[in-house]
Amino acid sequence: MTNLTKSFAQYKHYLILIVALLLANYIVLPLSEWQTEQQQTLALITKKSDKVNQLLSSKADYADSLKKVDSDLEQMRKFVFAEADEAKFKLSAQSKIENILNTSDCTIQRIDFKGDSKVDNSLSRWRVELRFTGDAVCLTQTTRGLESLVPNISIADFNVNHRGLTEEVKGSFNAVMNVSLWHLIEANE
Amino acid sequence: MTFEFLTKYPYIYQRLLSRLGYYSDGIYAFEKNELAAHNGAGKLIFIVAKAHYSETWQAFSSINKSELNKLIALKKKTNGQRQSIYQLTENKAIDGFDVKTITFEPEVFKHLGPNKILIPETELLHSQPNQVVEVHTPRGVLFSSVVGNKVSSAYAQGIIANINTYKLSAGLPNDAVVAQISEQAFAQFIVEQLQQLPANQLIAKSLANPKTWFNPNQWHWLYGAPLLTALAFYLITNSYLALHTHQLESSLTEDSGQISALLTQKQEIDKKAQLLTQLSKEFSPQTIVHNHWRIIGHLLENGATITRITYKDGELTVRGSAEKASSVLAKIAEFEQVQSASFNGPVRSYRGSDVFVMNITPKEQA
Repeated sequence: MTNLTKSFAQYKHYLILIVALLLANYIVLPLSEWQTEQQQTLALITKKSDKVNQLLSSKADYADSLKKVDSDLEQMRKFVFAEADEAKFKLSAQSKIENILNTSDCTIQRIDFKGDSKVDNSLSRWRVELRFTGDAVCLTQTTRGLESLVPNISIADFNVNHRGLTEEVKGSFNAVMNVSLWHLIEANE
Repeated sequence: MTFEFLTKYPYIYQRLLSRLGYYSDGIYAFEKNELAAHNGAGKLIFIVAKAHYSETWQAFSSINKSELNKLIALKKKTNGQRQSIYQLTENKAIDGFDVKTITFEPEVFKHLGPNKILIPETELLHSQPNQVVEVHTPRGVLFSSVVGNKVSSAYAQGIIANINTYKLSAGLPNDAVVAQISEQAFAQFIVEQLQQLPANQLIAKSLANPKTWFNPNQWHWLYGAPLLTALAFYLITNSYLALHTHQLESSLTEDSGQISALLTQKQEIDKKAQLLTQLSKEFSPQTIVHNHWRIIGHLLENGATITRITYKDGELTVRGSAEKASSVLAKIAEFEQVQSASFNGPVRSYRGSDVFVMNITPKEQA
């Protein structure tokens, strides 16, 4: 034990130096690296916090924006078919078109839904082919009726045949008309 | 090399001289070529009066220098606190060495401390060989002589009352020249002797213990203090950063519910705004087809007979006949709702009429 104490006394300065080096290598340097990491983390969190505060301060603006966009959408909603499912939409669209053709004294040959294409996640554009016969009044009233209908129906193209239409505007037309109409299916909130 | 050259640099010389002291029952400083009592502060090198050390001679025969050095090292170790100067002089007569030991009194170390450089005054009196000196020191009159390498000295006291008695006791001839140094000239004399002494001899004649000049514990502070400062700095800054980060994280966690709701709201706004944009795009380019019937009516008014009307991509294609198709084309081209009109293919005559296919581009409605 005495020898150990003597050895310790003899080498105590070396031991102090070694302890200092170990302290520097295993405590001070890792602390320095940790500080750098913490500074980076803090910078990120501060940025995030600033964004959150900005977001929170814009709470009222978001509410106003939502109100306005809802109002605009409500205005727009009446121009599209907003039935909950496809069957109901087709039934509604067909009955409205039939109604126009019937009130225009046209003879309906066929109303055919040709398919749809997605405009948006909730909005589809449908193509409907109308085949009907009728006189000039039928034809003009049909275009007027379709184009003034709410929800909106757009005439994409048509093909009208007549045996020989003159200024007297007599005789019957065979008409094939393709129209576009829009179906909005909004997800339940 | 001697230290005489230092006199050419008065500032350095004075600075060094202020570090030199003289010890004889008290401490003296060298001021203006005189000895003046001093408290010893700032003194590093002391010339010690003869009264405070003893000199002994010992002969070591039939021994080589390395063995003798080992013996002296052992002696130094066993002496402990009593530190001595050992001077080795080769003695061929005994095939060995004469060793002069100068041992300082313990009270010298007690007064001056262990970390001073001590020079025995008698070692400085003989820069000139074979010289006898009578020096009036603060302690008393000191006689000193050197024969060969051996310096002997004695204070004027007891039976050695004067220089003649000293000469006899030291075995010197009666006609030996004596250099007398008065008490007033002593300070200047001893400093000059010190300057003239070669550096290697000065080192051999002085006692210094460099170990006492440094405190190892203080050396540790040279790196220990910055290390501990850095440690404290990192501990404090890291604690602050950790605390700040924790506070911000807590705040974010508290707000997470509101943020989630706001983000959902924002997503909903974006989604609805996008839908609105799409709807606007879909409805904006619409053409009112119903208005085109006026163009057809105008054709009929100008004598055309129509068998087919086709509308596609904003253009009307009319198949029909007229008495003079070019006249009909001219009329329809001038019509206010028509942007352009042209025949699509050749106009054929059939039973006295022109049969045509006409492309009409209606004007865009405002």
